[in-house]
This record gives sequence, C-alpha cells and structure tokens, in this order.
Amino acid sequence: MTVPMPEPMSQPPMTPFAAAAGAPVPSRPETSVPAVRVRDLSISAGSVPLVHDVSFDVGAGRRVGIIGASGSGKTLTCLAIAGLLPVGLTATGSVRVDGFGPDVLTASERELATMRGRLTGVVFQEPMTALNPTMRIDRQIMEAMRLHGGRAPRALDRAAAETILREVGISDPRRIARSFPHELSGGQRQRVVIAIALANRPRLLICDEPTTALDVTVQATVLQLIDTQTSAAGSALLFISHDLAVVASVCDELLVMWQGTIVERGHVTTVLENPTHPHTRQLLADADVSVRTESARPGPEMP
Amino acid sequence: MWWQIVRRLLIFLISALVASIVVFVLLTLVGDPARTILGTEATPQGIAEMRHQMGLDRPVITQYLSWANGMLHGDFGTSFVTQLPIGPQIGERLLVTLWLVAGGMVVALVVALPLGTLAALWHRRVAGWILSGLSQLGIAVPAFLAGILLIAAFAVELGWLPSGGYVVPAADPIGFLKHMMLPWASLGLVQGAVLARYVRSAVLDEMEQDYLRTARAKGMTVWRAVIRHGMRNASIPVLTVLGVQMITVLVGAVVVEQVFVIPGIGSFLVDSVARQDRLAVQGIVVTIVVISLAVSFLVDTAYALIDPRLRRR
Repeated sequence: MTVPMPEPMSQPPMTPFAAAAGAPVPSRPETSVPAVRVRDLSISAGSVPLVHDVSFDVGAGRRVGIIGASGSGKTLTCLAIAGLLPVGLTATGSVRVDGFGPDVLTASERELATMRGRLTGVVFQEPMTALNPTMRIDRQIMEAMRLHGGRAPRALDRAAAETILREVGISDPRRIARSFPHELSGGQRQRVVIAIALANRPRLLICDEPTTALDVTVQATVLQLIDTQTSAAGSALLFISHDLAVVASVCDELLVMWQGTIVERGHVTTVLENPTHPHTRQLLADADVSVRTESARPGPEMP
Repeated sequence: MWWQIVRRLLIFLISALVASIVVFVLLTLVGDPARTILGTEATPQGIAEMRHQMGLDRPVITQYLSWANGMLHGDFGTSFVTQLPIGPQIGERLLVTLWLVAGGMVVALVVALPLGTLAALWHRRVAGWILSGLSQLGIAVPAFLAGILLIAAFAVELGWLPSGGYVVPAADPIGFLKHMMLPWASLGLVQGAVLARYVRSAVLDEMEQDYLRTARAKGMTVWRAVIRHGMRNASIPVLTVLGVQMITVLVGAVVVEQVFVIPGIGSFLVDSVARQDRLAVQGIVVTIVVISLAVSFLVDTAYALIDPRLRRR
C-alpha cells in the first residue's frame, strides 16, 4: 500500500462534502418499498458465526453507511445483499431487493444473475484488480448494458459507453474507451468501475470501501462522483467504510457494526453527536485523528 | 510489440545456430563414417582415400560451413550409407509426424479444455473429484501403453480400425483417418489428461480473481463469467504447457510411431542411428530442434497477443 497518511486535522477531512451530506436528499415518500430490506441476516463459515441477526432497510433513494473495523462483518453483509457471497458460507434470514421476486439468500445463481447489475450495482475496494486486464474499457462497460438491455447495435453501445465515461468525469472518453485497464490510473479505473455499477441505473448501489485503495488526492473527487452519480441515477446507496468521516460526508443514516452485529444505528448527525456504544466512540476518536483502524479487532475477515 | 517480435526472432535464429553447431560437433566426435562404410577389412590408404572423397579431411569449420550452407538452401546432403538425398526423406517423414502430432494435440485440447474447466467449476462437488481422478489416471498411463491397449480393443478385439501402418492423406483420405485414429487417441488422451490438470488450476486461479466477481456483479452467472472473462486469461499458463507438450510429443513421437508402425521422423531417426548414417542423424536432429524453437517462439509471441499488459511499446 502506498496510500500516504493524511495530515492529522482537527476536523474530519471531508469537509467540502459535508455540505452535500447536509443538503436535502431527494427522498421518496416513506411509504414506498425500500430498495433493500434485510431481516435477521446471519452468515457463518461452518460453525463460526461471522454476521449475526442483522436487520435494516435502505429506503428508495436513501443513503445508508455501514462502518466498523475489519472483520466486523460489513463486507459480508454487502456481498450477501449483492448475491455474491463466497461459496462455503451459509446465510440465513432474508434479503429482499425491490423489483426482484425471490429472496436473495435462497435464489439460484441463474436468478441472481438477472438481479445483479440491473437492480444492484457494486463498487469494490480494489480498482486495480476489479477490471479484466485483457478487455478494453468500452467492452467492459458495454457488456454491463447488454446483459440487461437486450441487444443493441454495437456502434450505439459504444457511443453510450463513451457518454457514461464522460458522465463519470473521464476527460478523454474516446481514448479511455479504447484503452486497457493497465493504461489507466487508479482513480480512472475506479471511475470506470462506478460507471459499470451504475450503467443500468440500479435501485441500489453498494460501495465497499471505494476510496480506501486510492490516493488521498483522488479520494475526495471519487467520493464526490459517487455522491452526484447516485443522485443522478436515483439509486439508493449502501456505503461501507471503516472511516467515519468518509461515511458522514455521503450518507444520511449510519449503522455501526462490531463483531458481526449492528451495535448502533440512527441518523448520521445523531450518531456522531451522541455516540452511545463504546465502539462508536472509538471509531469517532480514530476518525478525528484520521487513524485507520485496520487491526482493531481480531476476527475473520473475508476478502 | 514489433520490437519484441523481432527480438524473439533474433533469439530464435541464434538458438538455431548454436544448436546446429552443437549437433554437428557432437556427431563429428563419434566414429568415422569412412571406416564404417569400408568395414573392418579396410586398409589405411583406402580409408584416407574415402575420407578425402567424403570431404572429411577438411578442417571441421569448413565441413560445418558447407553443411550449414547446404541446409540453408534446403540441401541436407546425400547419405553415404543409402546413397539417397536426405532432405526429401526428412520432408516426407516429418510431414507424417506433424500430422500425428497435430491430430494428437487437437484431441488433447478437445479432451482437456472441457474436462479441466468442469473440474474447476465443480471443484467442490463429487463430479469434480471424479474428473480430477480420471485425469490423474490418464497421466499415469504412458502413451505407448495407451496405444497397445487401444490396438487390443479396437483393432484386435473389435476389428474396427487398422492396428498400424500409414496411408497418404491425398491418396486415400478415409484410409488416412482410419489409420490415424488410434495413434491420435493414444497421444491425445494421455497429453489431454496432463493438460487438463493445468487447465483446471488455471481456471481455479481465474475464479479467485476480482474481475470475475465484477463480471458476476454485472449480471453474469459463475459459468458465464468464467467462460467470458476467465478463459482468455487462463489460456496463458495453458498455452505454456501446450507448447512444452507439443515439443515433447514431437520428440517422443518415435515411441508411438513404433507401436503403430508409422513412418514418421522418429522412426527415421532410429533407423538412421542404427545405420550409423551420420549425415541423416544430423539433419533430423537439427530439424527437430529448429521446429521446437519455432514452437517456443510462437508461444512467446502469442502471450503478447493474449495479454495487452505484455505489449510494451
């Protein structure tokens, strides 16, 4: 890892976007179906429990952040929602994604494939490895559209891919479209990953530590991009981080996970101003000095 | 990209040059062809005369250069033993072996790609273990034994196919196929079993990759993601093994050629060694070496075509 430590600051480093978080979010009526409804989700590897009795909703168009140290189960929770849980893990409970008939936890791989990419989009932590090294960028984006949008003339798809690239702030979309991933910087690749995740305007965008692997200088712009693009696509957002300041800058609601359970939840400002669980206070203290809590808790961390 | 190809081509040419020198020098060190031809009752004068006639009294460097020069022009010389030109014989025999090797490798690929991929996709299921076990079994069987077993079953017992021999494809395509079926199978099944293990581990590696998860997150099933995104990347390690196997099979074809009585380059080499036909042995060995080097060159070049990261400007 070559990510330099940010300078210690007296306040959370993402202040430019704190305003964006405070801005009114285009929320739909509370009566509408939530983008995802998670009930009593438990995940275990054999007899080892990893996530225990997690329940929460992400309302349509709402933004929920999950924070917690490594091994707190936040990534597994998201993979379960996205229907991407690694083989060998068993999940119980229920995960309902708006627009998808069956329960995500019991659906077949074939059924899940019709949901993934159309109703859910995922931005992973590592942009360096998330793209296929042997395929040009435009084909990787076009593929995401074609998988759910039926067949369209190739030229139209290509134009659409370039438009999407422009939307995610790529300044030279024509050239980038014809490039291979290794010819792009980490920030550019993460923009492409975001473009792919949002290509079909999913109900829910899941971001798993999307800025952790990026240079500090790029982190802020990518975060802003997620902010604006999620709004533009009208997607709900489930945002995972171990960095409270980052989550606070994009989310309305906050879930604090610790050792596989949710220990605290509420509106971002409420939780930040009035943390009740010791672990939340610890995270808050860490965020203030911008210390990464990589090895805070022992526990199994799934990749 | 082009510079890399040129560089590899240079390496290929230099390797071929060095190989030809090594082969020539080694074979010059063993025995005296003049003495071999004239037999035990030859007089020293007779041998000296013969050596002069054959050009063996010239310096080694001169001998090498005239031999190498001839080869560059397609002239492999005339055998002192059989009095026949060597070049056309090598060409004819080589073509037979190339048919054998090419068909065998096609069978190997047809066996290994689905078998290895399924074994990887099913690696947590009983079916996957059975496939792995089958390929393990195939690895344990040498090609000549597979050949003998196939002859016993399909030629002797069932009588469906000839047990050996060779027919020129242009003269009788059906007969050619009939004769090649068992040799192809015995080479291909064994090599396919070996290759399948490499395909399996390459596909398993791919299944761990982040971009495969991205492909699934886009809306692909595991299978589709492996086939669309995994195969191309998995083909790099597989191609490496395939190249090595082709060379092994080319050099080792002699065994299968003997079992099935196929007049390929391997049996030509064995016959020439038995006849102490030095010039023929030199020509055959150099030909096999050059083909092996060419295969390596092609495999190396193919890497860059598959993986854009290997194309440096």
